[in-house]
Amino acid sequence: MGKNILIVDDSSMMRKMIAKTLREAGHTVAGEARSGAEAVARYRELRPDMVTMDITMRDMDGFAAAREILEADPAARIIFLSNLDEEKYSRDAEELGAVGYVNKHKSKDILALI
Amino acid sequence: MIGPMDKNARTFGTALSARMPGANSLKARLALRFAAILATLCALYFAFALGISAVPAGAAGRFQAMMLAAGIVGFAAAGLATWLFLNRLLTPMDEVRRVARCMAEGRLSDTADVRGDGEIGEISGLLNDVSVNVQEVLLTVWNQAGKTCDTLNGLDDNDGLSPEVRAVLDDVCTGMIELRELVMAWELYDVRVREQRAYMAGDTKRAHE
Repeated sequence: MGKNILIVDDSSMMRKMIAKTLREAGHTVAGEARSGAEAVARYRELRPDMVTMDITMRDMDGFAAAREILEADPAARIIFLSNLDEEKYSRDAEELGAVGYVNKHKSKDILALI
Repeated sequence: MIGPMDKNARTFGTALSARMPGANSLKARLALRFAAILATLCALYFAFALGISAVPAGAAGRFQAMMLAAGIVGFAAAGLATWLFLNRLLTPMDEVRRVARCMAEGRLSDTADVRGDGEIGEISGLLNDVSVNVQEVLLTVWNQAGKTCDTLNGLDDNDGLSPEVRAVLDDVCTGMIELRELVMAWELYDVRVREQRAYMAGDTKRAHE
């Protein structure tokens, strides 16, 4: 069954690409956010089934936003999506309680985690 | 059509810009034009105020003094209002120009901090968006080039590669390394590379402790 997903990324191009991947797989894009702070607000408002979260963003980075979301809702399901070092950040994502980490150049891999 | 005041301001502006860098900026040019207009109006006003002679002698003196005082206060206020208006209008434009120049020089680390719903605020937001998108493309290219190079280096003679194929693969790998170096010539926002791995700027130390 398709999921309602919130896409968090400061790049409009990436948001577009992730949205396309998700829609083609039968999921619904519940909303988009372009910064960590906006992600926290949109999560409270939309209560999506899942969040795809970029890491480096202006205003508030993805880890800080994920921490706030998980504090407010420990059941939140967050997948980190970034171009940063997979080894280090997948470990950080796991420690934080996220569903997983996917490298942006293999962004279709998020479908396996949803 | 260019008026004589405009012409004077332009001539003065050209002479000034030759001596002072930045004097030819939009801000300086507008300030010069406003100053020229104000100076002309000021001269006309005071010539009129001082030339009043059709009123009786005692009253004329008082009237002239009042006209002069009102003129000084009025033109000072007009000058100040013009200066504030120019600053309010053009300071955000300076900020946008600064960030556009950074981008042109390959520095994506700077962002334009101009808010508001006006045109300049919108241009600023779009410029930041272009910067973020360029960074995504650069990092993706950097990552893909690295993975390709790793894969090619992982192939060895036991995989049955002929020397010719090996030479071609080495060439491809060299190209990938050059591509990565090209990407690293850019200054990225909040991303640093150490030992061929990309980290958030604040994490480069922690990752190696």
